Amino acid sequence: MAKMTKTTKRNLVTALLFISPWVIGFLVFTLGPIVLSVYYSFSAYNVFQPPIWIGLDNYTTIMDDPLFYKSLYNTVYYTALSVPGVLVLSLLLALLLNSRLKGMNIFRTIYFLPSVLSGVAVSLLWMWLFNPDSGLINLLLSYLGIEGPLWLNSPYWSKPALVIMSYWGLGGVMVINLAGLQAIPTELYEVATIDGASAWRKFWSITLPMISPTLFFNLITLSIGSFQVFTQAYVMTSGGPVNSTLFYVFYLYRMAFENLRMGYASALAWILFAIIMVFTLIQLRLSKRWVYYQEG
Amino acid sequence: MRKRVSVWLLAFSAVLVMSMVVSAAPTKITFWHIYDGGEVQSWMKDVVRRFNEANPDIIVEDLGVNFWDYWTKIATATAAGIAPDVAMNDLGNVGQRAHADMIIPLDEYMAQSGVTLDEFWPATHSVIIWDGQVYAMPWETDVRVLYYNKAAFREVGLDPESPPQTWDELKEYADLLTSRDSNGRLTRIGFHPNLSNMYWWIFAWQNGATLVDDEGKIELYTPEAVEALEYVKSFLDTYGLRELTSFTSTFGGDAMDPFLIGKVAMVGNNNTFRETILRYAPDMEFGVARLPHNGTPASWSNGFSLEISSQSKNPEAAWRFLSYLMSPEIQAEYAKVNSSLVGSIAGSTDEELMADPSWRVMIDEMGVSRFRPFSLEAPTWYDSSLSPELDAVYQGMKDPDQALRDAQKNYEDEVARWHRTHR
Repeated sequence: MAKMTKTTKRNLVTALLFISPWVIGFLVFTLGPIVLSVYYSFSAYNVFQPPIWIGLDNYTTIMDDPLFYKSLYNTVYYTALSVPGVLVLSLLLALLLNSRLKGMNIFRTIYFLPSVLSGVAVSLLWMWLFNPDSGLINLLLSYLGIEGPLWLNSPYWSKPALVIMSYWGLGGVMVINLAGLQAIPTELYEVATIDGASAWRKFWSITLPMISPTLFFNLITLSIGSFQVFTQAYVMTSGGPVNSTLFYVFYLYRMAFENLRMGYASALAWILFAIIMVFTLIQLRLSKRWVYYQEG
Repeated sequence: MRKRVSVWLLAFSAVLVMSMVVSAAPTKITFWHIYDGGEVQSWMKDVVRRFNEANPDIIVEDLGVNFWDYWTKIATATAAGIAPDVAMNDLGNVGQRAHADMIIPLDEYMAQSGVTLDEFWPATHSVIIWDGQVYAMPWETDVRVLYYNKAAFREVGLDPESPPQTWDELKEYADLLTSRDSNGRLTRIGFHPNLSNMYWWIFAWQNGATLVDDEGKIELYTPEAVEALEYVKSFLDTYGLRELTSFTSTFGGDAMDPFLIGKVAMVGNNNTFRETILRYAPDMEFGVARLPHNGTPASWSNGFSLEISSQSKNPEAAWRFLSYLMSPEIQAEYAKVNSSLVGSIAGSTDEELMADPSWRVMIDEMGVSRFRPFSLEAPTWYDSSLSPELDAVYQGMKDPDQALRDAQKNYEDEVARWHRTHR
């Protein structure tokens, strides 16, 4: 490093001091626990007594734990249905809200609103909507002559119910899509119009490729969030019925805070990290086939 | 030279005086509980004040924390090494803390002050003893009894003064009390075996199952236990799963409790439910009776313990305060203030309390009540190993025999996994 002048040095110190609250917070409350959890995952640890090193025992036992597989299955099921749905619906909504009509900002606000509500409040609200007897959803279905399912009370319908609920919170994703749409240069559409392209053609050949980096970003962040689904199981179903909504992170939570098995729970957390990592790497590799980045 | 000596002397005597002051200063101990407001908190403050006045060598400082935050706070404080000397905790999992050496055995202190186990309800003994030693005092317990709607009894021609006593009668009465509208939809059910505070294990006990084997290990798969599950299921079959789920999904708590609004004619609920009825439906005509059984009277209890932390520097003083709280006088006061079924038999059978016939029913039921067996390896076995299997029976996916066989296997696997991860 080149020799620093006195002023540069002082500026550096000042800068470090200014960001120190964040850096210290990060080191103490984020990085520290993350590093420690690696150690805990190789130990038996109940919080109150010092951790005891047990090597790979937590990991090998998890491999024989039927609830590990069950909760992983539930989580993958949820992710596989929730993420594509949210992606498609949020794009459709963004396309609609991208038109330059009067009062569009009001609609944008309305569709974004659910995303600012707390997860617990939303969960309670949806418990009402899914109520088999007096819920709005089954009421609407009854107008169509359909006897609605028992939703959260049924081991077959509980996961689809939570998937449907996840579509409601797509406001954040929609806003990102909207930003992506507005970043597309209008010249492209003008040229296409002159060439006589249809609306469908324009969407397929201009909009979709141009917005593909945005979609890719949403795919990755949504998937990561979806793998960590927790609040709904905690508030609405307690993992039931018949373990049908025992999601991975909920199972981890139970192990950690109900059974005080921090070591086992830490191992579960690192396995989930590895799963998400592999999933993301695969997506990154696949993205080369469909994500279009403008050159230069 | 002389000056220096006198300075030293002065300093020395100052230290001496100060240390005397310190040793004469009262011992300070901390006490955490869940009373953070209302009448019960003022009463608890008063109890602490009275103790402090009567014991000038001890100062108890109490802290009431909201029930929902309490558990996190006490766990965090214990992990940080600053646990209160005396604390309330969950009676159902004392063994977990005893095993982790978070709390100390009380046998010696009990012997010194002449406190014996038989002062407390027998049901609590199984949970306050861990590895042959007493680790907690049963501050407060509870019990499930049968509440029934007298008006509904009269309406269907049943004698409102003779509640059902056996399983057969319970089923028979329940069928009579169940009504449907012209579309066949339920308008009232007689009895719901999984509602409010009723669970399968209560029925298993009532049918002679103990849920533990000769060595004290949890045993869920026995003929009596299977029969009890079949009995529970028979109610659901009568109502119909879909119909019953729709019906119960409209139920709420407190003022909207299904018993209070007349949607369920008989419920098993704990002793404090009586207060709920009196508060929200003061005009309701209801009876309190012992739970019907099938040969073995039994009910289910849980509650709060008082424990001394192993981090306490003054366990002697902590015990003096703890034993004061467990004295029949204070226990009786608490029972009156909070309508609580306290752990002390003398306290909960106080003359004034026993003047009330429904209190006597609860006391009778407490005599045959039990706690869920505790398992160190799977402290929440009823959620993790059992509950999904019971769900499967209620959903019609498994028969009771298979479900309990699987529950037992789940439990044993859970225990095995615990041992694999604890050396």
